[in-house]
Amino acid sequence: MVTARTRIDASHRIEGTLEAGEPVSFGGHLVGEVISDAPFVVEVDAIVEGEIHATEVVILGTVVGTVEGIESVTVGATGQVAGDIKTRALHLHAGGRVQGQVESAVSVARRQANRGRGASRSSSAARGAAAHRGRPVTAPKAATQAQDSPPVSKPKRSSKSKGKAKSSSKRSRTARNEEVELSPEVVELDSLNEPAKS
Amino acid sequence: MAETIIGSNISIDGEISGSDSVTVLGTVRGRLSVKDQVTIPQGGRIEADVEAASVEISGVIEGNVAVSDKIEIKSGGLLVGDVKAARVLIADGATFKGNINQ
Repeated sequence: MVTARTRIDASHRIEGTLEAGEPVSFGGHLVGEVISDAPFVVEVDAIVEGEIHATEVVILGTVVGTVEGIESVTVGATGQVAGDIKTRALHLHAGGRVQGQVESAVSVARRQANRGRGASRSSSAARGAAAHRGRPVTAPKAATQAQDSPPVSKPKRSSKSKGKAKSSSKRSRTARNEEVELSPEVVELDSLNEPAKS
Repeated sequence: MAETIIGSNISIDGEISGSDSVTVLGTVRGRLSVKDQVTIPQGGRIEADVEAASVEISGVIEGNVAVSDKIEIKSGGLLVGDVKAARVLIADGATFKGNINQ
């Protein structure tokens, strides 16, 4: 747990910007923005209306706004977030509530997941999960297909697709876009909830 | 007792209000209004108007101060601004520039 010297008491209200270079334990009501290069704790019953940017954010109270925790964001059992979360690692405890989009560093989550499993077979399984295709594929041929299909940045198709009309290829591209947009949450949840699953 | 401590690496731009005491080791700009004591130890800096029950300054305040009870500027402390207070204590070695209205 983070120990903080700076503590804002429950009776205090801040309207404006709080910039911190040390850990902060916030128990009051803040309307504005928090910019910190240290951990920031929103205590039980504390309210933050605005954005929080910190290395590590622990939410035991209520936050209405975007939360960015570079290292991690923890939403405790009493914590509530109404807003988007951007972080490398999200810890959501039972009882904690999040209403908003979660954006995590998928590449990091993938790498961590792969390190735990090792071997190229497991990486293809992770990609299969990322593409939200149900069960991981085990056959090597299917695995290479799964590797080729998800990236959006290189939408080149094989010669087969050239024969088809342009509109249909566009349609298939957008469909793939939607699939990829869904993938970060899936990967993050998979890596959080089923770390032992091989 | 509940107290707010604003550490030396903290900077707040805006308005702070509340009932309990506040100790400012960092920087506060804007407005500070509490119903208890405000303490500014050495190194602390307030660039704001301050309203409180009492204020103790070993650091710096640039702004007007209104207290219902007492303001004390300790040795090494600096206050630039007008003061409205029932009791005013300015120690030897303290710096004060402004008007006093009692």
